[in-house]
Amino acid sequence: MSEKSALAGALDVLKALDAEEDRFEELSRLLVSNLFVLLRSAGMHDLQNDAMHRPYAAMISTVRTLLQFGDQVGLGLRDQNFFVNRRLVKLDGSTYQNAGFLRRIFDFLDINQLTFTAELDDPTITLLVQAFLEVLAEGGDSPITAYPLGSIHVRKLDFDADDGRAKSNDPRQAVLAVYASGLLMLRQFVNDLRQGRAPRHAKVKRLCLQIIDVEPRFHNLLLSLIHLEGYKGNLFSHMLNTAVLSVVFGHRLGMNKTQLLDLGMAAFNHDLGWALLDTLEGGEGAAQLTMEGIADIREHQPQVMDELRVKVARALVQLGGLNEMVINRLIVAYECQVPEDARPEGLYVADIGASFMTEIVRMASTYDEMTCAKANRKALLPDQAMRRILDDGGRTFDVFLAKLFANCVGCYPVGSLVELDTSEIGLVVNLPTNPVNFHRPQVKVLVDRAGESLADGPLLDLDETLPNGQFIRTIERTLDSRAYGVSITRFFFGE
Amino acid sequence: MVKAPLQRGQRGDITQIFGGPTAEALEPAQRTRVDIARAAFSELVKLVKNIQLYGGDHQANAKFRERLFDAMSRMLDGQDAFEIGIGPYEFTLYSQCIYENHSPERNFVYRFFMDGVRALTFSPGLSREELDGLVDVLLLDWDDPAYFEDDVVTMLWEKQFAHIEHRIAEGYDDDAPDGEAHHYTIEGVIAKVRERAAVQVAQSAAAKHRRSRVVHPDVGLTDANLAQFEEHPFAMDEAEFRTLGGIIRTTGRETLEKFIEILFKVSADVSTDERGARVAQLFSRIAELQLKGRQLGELERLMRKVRRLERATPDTDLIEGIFSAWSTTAFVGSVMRELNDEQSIQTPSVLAVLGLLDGSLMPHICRQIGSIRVERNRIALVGRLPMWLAETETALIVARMLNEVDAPLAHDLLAVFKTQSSDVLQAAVRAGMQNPEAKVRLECLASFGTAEIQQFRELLFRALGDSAKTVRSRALQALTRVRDPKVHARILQSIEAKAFGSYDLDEKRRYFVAAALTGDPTPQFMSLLGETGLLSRSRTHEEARHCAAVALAVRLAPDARPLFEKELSRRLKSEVVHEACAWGLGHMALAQKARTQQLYDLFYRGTLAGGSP
Repeated sequence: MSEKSALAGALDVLKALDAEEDRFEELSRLLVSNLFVLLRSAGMHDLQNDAMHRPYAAMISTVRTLLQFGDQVGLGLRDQNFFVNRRLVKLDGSTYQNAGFLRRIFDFLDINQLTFTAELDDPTITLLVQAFLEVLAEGGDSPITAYPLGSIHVRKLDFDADDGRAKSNDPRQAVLAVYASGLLMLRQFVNDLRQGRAPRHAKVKRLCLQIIDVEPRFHNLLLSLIHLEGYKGNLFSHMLNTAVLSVVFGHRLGMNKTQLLDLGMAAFNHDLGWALLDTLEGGEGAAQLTMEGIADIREHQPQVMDELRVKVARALVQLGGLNEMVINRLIVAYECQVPEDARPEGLYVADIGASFMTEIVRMASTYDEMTCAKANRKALLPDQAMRRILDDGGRTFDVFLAKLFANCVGCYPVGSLVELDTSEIGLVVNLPTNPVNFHRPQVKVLVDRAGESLADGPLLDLDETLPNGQFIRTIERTLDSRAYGVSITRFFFGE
Repeated sequence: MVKAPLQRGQRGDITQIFGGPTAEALEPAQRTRVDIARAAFSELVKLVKNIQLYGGDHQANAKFRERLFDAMSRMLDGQDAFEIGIGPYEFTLYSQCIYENHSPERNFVYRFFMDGVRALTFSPGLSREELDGLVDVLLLDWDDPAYFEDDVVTMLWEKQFAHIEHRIAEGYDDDAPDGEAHHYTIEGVIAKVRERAAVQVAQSAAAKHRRSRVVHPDVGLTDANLAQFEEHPFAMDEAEFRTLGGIIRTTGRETLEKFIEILFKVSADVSTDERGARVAQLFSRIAELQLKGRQLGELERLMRKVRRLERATPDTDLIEGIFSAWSTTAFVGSVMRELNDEQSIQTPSVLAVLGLLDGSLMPHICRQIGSIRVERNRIALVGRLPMWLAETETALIVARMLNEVDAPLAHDLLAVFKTQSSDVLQAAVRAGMQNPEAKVRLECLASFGTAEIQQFRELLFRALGDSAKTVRSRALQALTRVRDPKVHARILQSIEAKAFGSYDLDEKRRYFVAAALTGDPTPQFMSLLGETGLLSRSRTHEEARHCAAVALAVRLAPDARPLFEKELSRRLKSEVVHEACAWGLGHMALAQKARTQQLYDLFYRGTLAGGSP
């Protein structure tokens, strides 16, 4: 097969994928519309009336087709918006009004979820519409959830409890929502790029804005999620973690929101070009893109690094668009493609060094990579990774900025398990309150002096001193949280 | 919400029941607000249309903006915030439509809705600037590639409004399509976050002797802990702050240089015309942005950088492509506009930018010199011309423009061409002689010296028939210096020409004298002077005799003296002939130096000075 025809074949597949997506959206709109038309018709006509045939048939057909996309069809109402199988129904002009009526019907029935677990038939639809008419006749006093509806399930879900991403007052939920949805979105973004599909650029930017908008006093929560196992090591996770670290660092340095956006987007994009390269094993978007694979190329093929740097940059340029931010991030991505332990120098004809943002992103990126296990080595503990950066001595990072990085993120970063000179064991839960003493973070005690495990130990600020100026507690050494059964993310976000 | 539920077994239109609140159901204050909102949005629509039609600077915009702001202020006057709902084609307030547009094309409501914005909340304290900022978002050109990663939500965020909030519809599982492993769903991620860690028991002997320190399985942050968290701003000492500032400044300065270099490397192995065009387009866009921001210094740096890369890349076509994309008359116009700003200090950059452009633009640049009103800038620009026009080919193109430029510019250009090859000067003069302005033609004739007269002889001959007296005179003066029978014959021919009769006396005199100086017309002029019949005593004839007398005197023709004396003794004398003969006798009696002075006066002042001996 010629290269041209192979490419055409691949494009056909992509077109088919897009067409499928469009079809689902169209069916989702139809479901909303048809359900309303069915209920409205049932209100006007006897159920045996011929006029009911068409609404019945439309519902049966729509649900049957939607069932091809999954085991069941769930129509949910949340924040005044309908979702089909948890995907937002993108209403158009013709369905918007019907959706408004249906929303009010759902409110009246006091439900927010209607699920079709099997193909519909006339008797099942009749059960639904009869139940609806009876509830309507009783002014909503008898709940529709009490009616047997066959394969149709109606419920009022507590979405807040359901997925833990509610807009409750608990800041953990908000932070987790940003991180979890961001992780999945970036995965989709990377996959779209690798498979040649149009990626949703605006979503990445929105994610960056969300990270920036996280209350600074809860940056520790964001930092703890960097240690989330199971995803770490993949490009999409690395993009997110690097952005989180960069934004937190940038914020501590006093960068304003616009600068943070620039920095965050540069962090997201610094290794994104790899998603478009075919040099990795699997290529063509088949395999999960891992940082270990990328690092291998960087480490073992220094002779082709110059070429790869250009390829990565080219990939970013191909994404399109041009504005100041795009230029900045292109430069960062270009300058980040150097061997792991080298300074980004001598990359230009003129004697120009790396940009400020590159320095930040590289430190954040390296920190994330070092705290991730590889085939040939265990993940470094947070403080070990920070120590490496701090002790680099200018070999890889700018000495001054490395010191600032440690000052800002803490010599003992959030998630470090430490033993104190009081023999208490605690987990670093927040950045140091006094930046001068950046080796004195805030610690939650997990094990007391007597060696007893505590379910809710005290929260200590290691910067606290006795009246004579002596520090009350000092970190003696760090421990491997894995050996103590501590899941950093569970600690911060456990139920 | 339900107004009248259907009775059991009863049938009816449920849209009547679930139709939502009507205007009648609103409180009077709400109704008033709806009315004001409708008025406000009609002003908004007018504003938007006006800007789309006439641009953002149109004078009517201020009026619409003012009215919009007034209406919005009235809605907030002494009242709480209000929320505008957003549907695909409509804005609503208290579920009442306040604005609708059913076209999906250039419809900001539709765009807001499709980007997930479901409501805008306006709070008391709303400022004019905020409202203008919102209008900016409404009017954004989403086709502009610069916004490729933006949507309404990101743009609203960037505006950082203090009194306008937006509510968006989250696509909850938009990115976790069905069929994905649980691991890649929201629930999967959350489950992973909350997963208990397996204890990896330490194997060392020391560890075995240590007290059991496996932590409590349910240990975690509590609400009380969360409440204790505060932000502790990071602080740097003065020296650190200076160091950081230094790093940011020095590393930020080179952004453009880096970008250009990367772009070249990225495009280096791509030789397709399409890619070349795309890169050129990109650079044009950069330059356009710089011009818009009047960053001429940056533009100069950009262009120099690209030029320098000629040494570093084999793809010179790409560089030429970029420069040709810049080398447009519109670009030149935008650059040169800076020269009309009296306060601008960017003249050196402007000159540098112009000098870096393609030579083919020089005619256009030169033409624009005429529009520069700031004299020092004009002088500075003209000062660069010798360098820019050093190439003969370019200079020739500009030289040929002399047939159309104005006199001051012609003056400047001729000054440059005088220093260049004779080909260029000839081309300039030949073109300049076609210029409708006599001043230019005159300047052209003055631009060459005696040595070049022979080269321009034919041109000078033609100039003898020029419509402007000054030009004819100048040509005559030049030709007079050549003792050549052809010149002599051509001058005589001019004297015979029909148009000659309409010339002023002083000019006619010059022609006659020129004829006398370039050859020997004595017999002819003697005869003319002697034609004294009463019938032939017309003004033209008398003037011809006057001129002949002067010319004979200039030739120091001895045979003319009796004729002069005779003419002076006539009773019925012609004043004009009398004057010439008197002057002639005087002239012939003078020493050479004095005669030369008289010739000078005759030619250059047009006077017969010192008429009597």
